Amino acid sequence: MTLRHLLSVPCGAREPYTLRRLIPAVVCPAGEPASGREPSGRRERPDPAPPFAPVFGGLLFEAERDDRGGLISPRFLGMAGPASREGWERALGRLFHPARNIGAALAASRLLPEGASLDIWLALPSPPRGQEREFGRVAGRRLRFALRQEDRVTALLWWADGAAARWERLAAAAPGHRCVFRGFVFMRPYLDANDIHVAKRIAEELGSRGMGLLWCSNCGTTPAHGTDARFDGLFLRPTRFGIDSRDGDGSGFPDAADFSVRHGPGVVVWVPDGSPERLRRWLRMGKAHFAGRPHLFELGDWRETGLIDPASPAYHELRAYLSGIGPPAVPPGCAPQGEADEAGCGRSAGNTGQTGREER
Amino acid sequence: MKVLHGPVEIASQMGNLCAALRRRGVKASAYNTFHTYLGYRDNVYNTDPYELEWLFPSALKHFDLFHFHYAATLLPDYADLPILRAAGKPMVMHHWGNDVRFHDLAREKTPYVYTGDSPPNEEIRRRLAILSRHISFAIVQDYEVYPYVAPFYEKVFILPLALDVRAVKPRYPDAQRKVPLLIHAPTNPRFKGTEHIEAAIGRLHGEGVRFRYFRIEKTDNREAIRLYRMADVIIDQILCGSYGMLAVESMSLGKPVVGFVREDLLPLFPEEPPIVNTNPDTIGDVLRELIAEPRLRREKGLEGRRYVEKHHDLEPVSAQLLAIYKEMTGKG
Repeated sequence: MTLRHLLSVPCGAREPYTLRRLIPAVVCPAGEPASGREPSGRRERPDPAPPFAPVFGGLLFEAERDDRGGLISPRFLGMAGPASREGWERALGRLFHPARNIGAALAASRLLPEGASLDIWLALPSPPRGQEREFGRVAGRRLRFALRQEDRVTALLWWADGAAARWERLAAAAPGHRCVFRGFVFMRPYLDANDIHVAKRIAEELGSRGMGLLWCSNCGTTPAHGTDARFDGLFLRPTRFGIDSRDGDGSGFPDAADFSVRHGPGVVVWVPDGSPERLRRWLRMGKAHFAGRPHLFELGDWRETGLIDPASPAYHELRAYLSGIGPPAVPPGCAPQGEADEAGCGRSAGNTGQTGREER
Repeated sequence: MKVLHGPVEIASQMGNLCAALRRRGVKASAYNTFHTYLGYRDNVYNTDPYELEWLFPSALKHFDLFHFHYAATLLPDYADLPILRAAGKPMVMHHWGNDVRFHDLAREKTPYVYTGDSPPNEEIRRRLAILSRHISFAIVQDYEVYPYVAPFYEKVFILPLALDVRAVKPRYPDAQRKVPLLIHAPTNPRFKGTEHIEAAIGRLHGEGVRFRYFRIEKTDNREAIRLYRMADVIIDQILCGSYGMLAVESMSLGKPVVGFVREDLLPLFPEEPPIVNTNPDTIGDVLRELIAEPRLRREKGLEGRRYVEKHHDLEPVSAQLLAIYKEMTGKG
């Protein structure tokens, strides 16, 4: 599977993403040059030029907490109530709203030029290992994560199957869309032995269902460099770069870049506070170290910060960066410790067969 | 109130304190990046420093108060402290001993102490200087640790070690048992004085004194506690001059505890701890007496249980901790 440049879409329980908000992440007016040169390997545009050009190659939707404060994303581990079946189900309902979030992405993708497509990825929720409270009943069983590790797998697969089913219904009701549902992303960077077991089981099960599984890990995290869970792709977050009060020189970035060169993962551009200046520093470093790699942009809630807003200079710098580095030149490493084969992992994850030709 | 504890779990204290706070309506979460064979997992999210950094932006928004442990904070080189301070978040540093025990000062207090696991004095001083630049308050478990940090902080609170004593069913020593079982469980033998203890054990065996001895090491905490239940005497640390979590756990089980508490510290505890006091010079005699006196073992076991119920149980400790938080936040 060839990954493309992705943008994280953090979905809180309150304000969904509307079509108007998502359009700048998906397309921009084709007449506005983002940079002086076309990315290598891209075909010439048909004449007359389409009205819009692609921006990101895909969107990663991440539900954060449910509407009652229950845990969904591991980003809120210890900062949310217990995970529950009802909360996760309501989160699916919001993610696959016909006119919001993924529904809005489907609508926005209609603006893509012919031959282009938009990948859709979903962040997997986090079933906390130590949660004593019952998660809920799935497949006739009451799930208790603290008692049975396998219940965590059951909950995740139930959710993934629910997402896939909702995708089928929503996509079928949106004729003319250009989205491709690619699969899921394991978001928790730290994996202990139990988590690795869960990740392996999920990877196997999703693979058998034709869905992909990516992992967002931190460079240096346990055991990012040694797990045998077969992810279809790995994005590394050079975390140390994100904190500029310490040194501001991006000391973690070269380490991540070195690892990437040896093992082939993508990179997470991590600007949680949405600071344009921090984003600029990332882009400077990224051009030097990660030009050929797939990027995942984690920019916090970019509606608040305006980073993905045509009125913001940072938005145009970001577009110029994407145009400058072009689509990823290599598939992401799927097996840390150099186990990836030359064709990436060789696992097909898309369920529609659509592939964007103007990949970003 | 939402409180974060992290990032080093020592003697299950973060987990215990969070459990206690939650009973009082505080939303407390603990994150641990220090993983040992002890396998602490109750009430704690086990993680690593990289994930902690990833969680930091969410934590900054979510938590009202940050309670750090063992001279460590959430980001490398204390990079989080100016951010937290600028955000107006109250912070407290909980020091545990080896993180701040200045070598020379410790030896002034007692000749027995082992400080080989503490950083060099200059490093301790450097860390405390940075920490106290941003954090006004510290917590220590007793007056043994207090003097190391007192010169640095605006205020240092004493908070006894916390244990859910009432959840532990005591098993007092059998007053009829003629051949008692002595248990010593060193997480760090050089710090605990294991060499002196086992030399004394060897001498007693050589004298023909009848007892059994079992040393527990590199054992999961839950399994260790199961083994302590079988003991007639528990030997804690005999060098540093105060008692630790093994003593508290053992007293909760109703076991007599042998340890070394400095004479000058005894009046500074809220009540004199019923530790059977010894040191490397007297350990043999103290053990001989306990082995010979089943009733003394039982008496000490009963006293110990009463003591920890009063001073180390989650209820009194969490009440003190909440009072500390209130004082820190100006709501005291």
